[in-house]
Amino acid sequence: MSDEIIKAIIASLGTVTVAAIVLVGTFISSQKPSKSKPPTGDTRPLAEFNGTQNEFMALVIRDNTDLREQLGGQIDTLDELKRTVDSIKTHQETFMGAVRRYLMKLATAWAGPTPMPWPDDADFHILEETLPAGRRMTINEENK
Amino acid sequence: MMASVWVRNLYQKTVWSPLNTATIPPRFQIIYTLVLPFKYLLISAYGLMSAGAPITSIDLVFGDVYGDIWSIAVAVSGLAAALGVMFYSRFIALEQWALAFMITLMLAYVGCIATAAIVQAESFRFLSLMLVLIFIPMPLWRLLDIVRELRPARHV
Repeated sequence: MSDEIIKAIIASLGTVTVAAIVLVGTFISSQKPSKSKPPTGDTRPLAEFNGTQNEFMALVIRDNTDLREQLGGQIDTLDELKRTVDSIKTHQETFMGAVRRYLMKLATAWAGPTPMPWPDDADFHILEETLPAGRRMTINEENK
Repeated sequence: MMASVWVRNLYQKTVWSPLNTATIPPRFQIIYTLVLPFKYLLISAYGLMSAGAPITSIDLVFGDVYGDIWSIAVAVSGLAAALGVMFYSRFIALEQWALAFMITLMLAYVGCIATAAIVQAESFRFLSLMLVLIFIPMPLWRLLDIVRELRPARHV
């Protein structure tokens, strides 16, 4: 085996080892919980909302106890809602990611000139599989 | 019919679908939809084109064979990172792995240029070194950004 091939093997192994160390380091780091965000200062109760696009999300969450529980428990003010929705991981195919996109879709549909059809894609199927059947029907009827 | 449904479903999973774009803060949307995919594809093209060509500093330190392996690895990591960001809602981990390799390959290149500059005492290699160092922070920032994205949320 020539010197050049031996050097290439050693250098390749070195590269893979360093890359693996970087990857393991970032993976471990990504498992640590992120710090919660400070409040934005808006402590209006969700019960007051009845208007804008973002506030539609508040209405959906306020009126759906199961969804509130899935999103992390007690959500009574806009601050709590914003912090909870912001804390949902959007870049992974998790239930929470699906909930967030579903809410975004509802908000978009509500604000748009024509109503969007009821979601029938993978996001909705995840919700459908997770929420209890009775609650699912109620949400469906409420937002149709 | 089946093909159009498949294409539509595929499109909905991409970073360009409004469904996914809506979850990105507006000021970062151009980075996700344009800058990162273009940059990764450019890196991949660079790797492919340099596979057959000599990279003098790497060739000098580790030889031609590693030079070719390095180029192909750059091309593959660039392509993987591009796919990762294009389908970021599902494959963000792919971008993370690809970036870890890409940064390591860049650091290997930095090491080779620095070694070649010292051994050969050629001033233009220091300029190359500076150029590579200028480009390293961006993928490094993106890797740390992905780490932040993947961190589990602490519910209020």
